[in-house]
Amino acid sequence: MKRLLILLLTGLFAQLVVSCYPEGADNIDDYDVAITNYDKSADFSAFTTFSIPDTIVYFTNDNDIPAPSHEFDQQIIQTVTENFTRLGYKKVPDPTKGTAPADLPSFVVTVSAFSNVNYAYFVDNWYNNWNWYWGPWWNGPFSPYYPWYPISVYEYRTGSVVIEMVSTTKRNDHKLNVVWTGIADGLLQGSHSFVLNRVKTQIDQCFLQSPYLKK
Amino acid sequence: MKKLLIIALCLFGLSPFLKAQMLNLNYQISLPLNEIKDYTDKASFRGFDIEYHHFLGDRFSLGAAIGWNVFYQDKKHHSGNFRFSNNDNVYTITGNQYRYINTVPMLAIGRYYFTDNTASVRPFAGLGIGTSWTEKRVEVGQFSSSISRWQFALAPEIGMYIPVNDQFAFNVGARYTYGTKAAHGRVPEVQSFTFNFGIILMGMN
Repeated sequence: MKRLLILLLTGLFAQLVVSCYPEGADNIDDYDVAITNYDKSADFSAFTTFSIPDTIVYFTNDNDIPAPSHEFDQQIIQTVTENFTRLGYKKVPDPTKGTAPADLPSFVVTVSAFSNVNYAYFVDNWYNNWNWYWGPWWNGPFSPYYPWYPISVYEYRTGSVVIEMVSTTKRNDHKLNVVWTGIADGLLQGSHSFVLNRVKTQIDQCFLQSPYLKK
Repeated sequence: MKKLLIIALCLFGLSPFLKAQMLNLNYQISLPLNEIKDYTDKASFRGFDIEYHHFLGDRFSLGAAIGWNVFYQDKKHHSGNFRFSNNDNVYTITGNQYRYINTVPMLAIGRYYFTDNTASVRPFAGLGIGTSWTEKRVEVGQFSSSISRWQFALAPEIGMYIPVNDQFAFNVGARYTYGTKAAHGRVPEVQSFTFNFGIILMGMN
């Protein structure tokens, strides 16, 4: 009898706690968000051309996850490219060592993907992973422009696709000149086509919520 | 705390004059007003309070109430500007936004009754003064942010109770609650209109 009473009280207490925040998100895609941030001093109409590498760089802190298959790369990069083209920017070939400074794209778009488990994801110097693209045509050094700080996340398997618009105009402090960031963030759950569709929707939303971003 | 002690002492000191007391349990429906309405534009059907009243003579009572109301709104697809801790950058985040306000008003209430205790209906008007703990919370995607503060609260009310017998009565009433803004406006002014439906247990001394 006493046990029953304790059980009843525990149940009641649990009800009360849950009741503070009733309802909320139900489905996986209810957690999807588009996050953007930009350099307030940048003049986005001054940019003209861009290049975009044909590969997504993957970051993970979970060694159990098999190596990324890159099966989403092409469609995600296509979505990003289409968005920038629609805004009036012109895609040009990747710069090489022989590219004259005058012919450099005015910005480079990088697409990175993170899959993390309960992980504070913006680690210092993660941009070093992009060294292969920022090759000889660009004379380093590399360090993240934004002071990224850990964003605490819950114990879900989260996934983020991070799009960065990097100006090829060098900064005085030699940091990478990131002028716009768009992040499609959500739970990495469900079928591949479901995940891909959600990522595309959030990428489009990133551009939609950045009205300053146009030629 | 000190305030509560003083109130308790006063009640104790007045106890020889107390003729009766009542314990009141109410279910509450609250309509958000002004700033609260801007934040969660939906009536709250999640609320209750517990009240205790001592009669001072025939027409007056002095009592205390503690309650709880939850305001909630699903803003669906919504954009907002946010800051993460330790980072001055402002991020625009779009996603399903869920908003919550939890308030816990604690009031000392004085009441005047328009009829004496032999009447079959006892309408009253009262004023509550005290504090309200308010928590404002927003969830978007896997991120959430909340802030809570104590506010000064004022709550005029009208109502009536209908005695069934010496020990039991039904209560209906309406109360307007005003809580001052806190944390430089990050916790907004709480203004709500609350309907009480409850039962009263009476005790004679």
